[in-house]
Amino acid sequence: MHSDPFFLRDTSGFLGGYYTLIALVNGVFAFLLWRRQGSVGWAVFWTVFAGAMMVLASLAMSASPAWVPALPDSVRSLVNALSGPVVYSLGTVALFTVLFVFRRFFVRPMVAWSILNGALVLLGLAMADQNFALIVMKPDNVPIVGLVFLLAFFTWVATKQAVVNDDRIARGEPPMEKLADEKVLVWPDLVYTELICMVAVSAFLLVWAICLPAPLEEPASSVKTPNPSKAPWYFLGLQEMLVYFDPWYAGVVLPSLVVFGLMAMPYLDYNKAGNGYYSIAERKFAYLTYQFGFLVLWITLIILGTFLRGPNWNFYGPFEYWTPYKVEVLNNVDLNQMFWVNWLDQPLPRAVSGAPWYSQLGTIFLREAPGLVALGLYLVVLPPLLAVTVFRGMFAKMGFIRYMIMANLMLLMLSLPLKMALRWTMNLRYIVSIPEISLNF
Amino acid sequence: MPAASKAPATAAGGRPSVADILAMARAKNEPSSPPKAVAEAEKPTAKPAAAKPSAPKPPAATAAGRAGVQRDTASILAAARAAAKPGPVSKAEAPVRPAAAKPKPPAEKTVARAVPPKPTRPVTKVSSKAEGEDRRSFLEIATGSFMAIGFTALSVTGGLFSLGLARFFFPNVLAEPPSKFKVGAKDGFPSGKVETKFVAQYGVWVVNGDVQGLQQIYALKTVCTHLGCTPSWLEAEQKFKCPCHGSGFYKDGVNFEGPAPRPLERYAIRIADDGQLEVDKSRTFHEELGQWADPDSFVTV
Repeated sequence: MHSDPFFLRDTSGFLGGYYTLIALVNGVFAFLLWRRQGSVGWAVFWTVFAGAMMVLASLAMSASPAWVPALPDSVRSLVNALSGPVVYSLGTVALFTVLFVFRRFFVRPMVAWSILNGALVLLGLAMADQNFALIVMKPDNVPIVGLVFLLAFFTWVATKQAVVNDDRIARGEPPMEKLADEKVLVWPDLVYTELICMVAVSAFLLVWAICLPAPLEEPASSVKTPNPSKAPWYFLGLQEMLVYFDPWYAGVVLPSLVVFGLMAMPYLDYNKAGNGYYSIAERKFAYLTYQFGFLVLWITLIILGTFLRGPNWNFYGPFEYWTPYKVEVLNNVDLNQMFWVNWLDQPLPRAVSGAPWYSQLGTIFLREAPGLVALGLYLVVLPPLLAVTVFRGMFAKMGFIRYMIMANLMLLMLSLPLKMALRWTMNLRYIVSIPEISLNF
Repeated sequence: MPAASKAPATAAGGRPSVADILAMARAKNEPSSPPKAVAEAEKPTAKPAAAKPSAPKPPAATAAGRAGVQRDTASILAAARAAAKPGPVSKAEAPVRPAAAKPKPPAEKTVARAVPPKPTRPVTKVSSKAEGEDRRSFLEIATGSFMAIGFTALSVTGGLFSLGLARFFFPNVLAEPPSKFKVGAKDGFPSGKVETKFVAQYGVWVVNGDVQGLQQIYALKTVCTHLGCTPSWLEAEQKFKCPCHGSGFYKDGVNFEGPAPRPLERYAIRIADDGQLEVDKSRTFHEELGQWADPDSFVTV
């Protein structure tokens, strides 16, 4: 492990404060549980937990490698060895599935609070590792760590309300939002709240900017690209897509489709339920499609790009040192190469130089035939097939045009995870590759 | 108030002018009355527009009622305009007036009020050729109309501006390296070497490598064919690796990993008259278009 004797001394103060803060929050939480809810058992539990956090805080303050609480080396090595794009992506999909299926369990306040505390403690233990701390505590990345927690919180709140509403609807009661539909005035109720929020957030940002200044990098140069070269954090999902696709597709077509798809949603949606209140059971398809696109295909790719992509855009484990000399063999081949050379064992169809344009065009079509056929099957044949099988009810409700738009948008969204899987399993670069006119898919 | 007894006296000789009344009111108010009274008397003058239209003004009447027989400028003005009794509207006089006797909300009253006749709008004289051709109409006569002058001037200015703007694309001094430059004799590029010292200045790798069994010296453009970042040459792995999305290229420039869709481009290279290698950045050669077979794209060792 890449380690520095001064690292722990510099970090111990922060870690001590971090554990103390967790202890304080849990102490207040336990107190509120006791006074408001009267649940003594839980209050005692969280008080003991707060005490344990104080012990961790004092241990962290010692700044001695023997005492500072950290994950054991064996665990870190195991995590590093296990982590990779495949495990990460499959893991996030699995996590998403588990969270969705067992949502009734996860929305319980005590479960959520335990998970939050577990995540915070794990983060604290991991931050005692220098390589992890170097990435996570970089001033650029600190807000993203905060955003991950915020996103988890808001997703939890919405899911909780949806679960409550689903239960109420199942019992034949109106959803919670219908009970508390008291109207409030924009002025002064909303505007005052917004004003107070604005002042508070501005003050917070000022303090943040002073305490944690954003780093300046070296002057820009057209012949020297920083390594790793990263987009702004909100575009790191796009940058991750660019690893698997041609720039015109991952940089232009897919982002535009995201925007147009979001705009098309209200017109494609035939389900009148869930209007004005949270519900999952009443609109499972819409909920799952959106959350998969947002949480799995957007958020986790941002996290991947921020914390796990290092020099040369290689994948680095959370506790791995970002060396630019990491060797990763990624011999990628196009589908035409696979089809003609590897499977049919003959050279790629290539036009004779100086041949007329139609002959050259024909050669390109012949060369790309397997990819074009696959693409045609995927985008033209698959939607009708789905319409008569899986989406039969939806096709009947939506009509031909709306169904086709919905199906194609969904298939194009799914082209990202499919292409990622093909890259990992078959080292496939492009399904259709026409570099002559810079058209690749 | 002292002014109360004076005003009718002045008015006895006939109807005084507004200026007279104003001057009188000021003269009476200022020296004798306390500063508060002055302020009260002056206040309505700040918004004469509000006081102007209504002849028997109820606000004035109430103000007069509040401060005894107060004469404020607004009530004097209003009285003068309406050709009524000049002077203040006192509480004693108020019952005489039907409007003041029965106070109504002002909004209702404005409906019934007689509007003074509007002054006729002076008709602007439109000059025409028939009416004397003076100096002002010279340009108009010369060009046809003022619109023509305006649009002509606009288009001429716009045209000149565009020309001036276009001039910026052809600067007098071009602070960029020349497209043709010499990199030294062939001996300076031993077999298998990727020369990276020209990257910072010219953006080119000069490579002496094996391309399909032929030993060649070629100049590769340092621009990734995926999105245009500058890859770095990794000597240990014998490959060009792009830091942006991880594209990798062999020493001959052919892409083999990551998303780059086509090989790196070559610049033209030749042996100059003095025996040195000369790279020409104005011409590029694409492998996927079969241009690497062009003898200008390499120098045989």
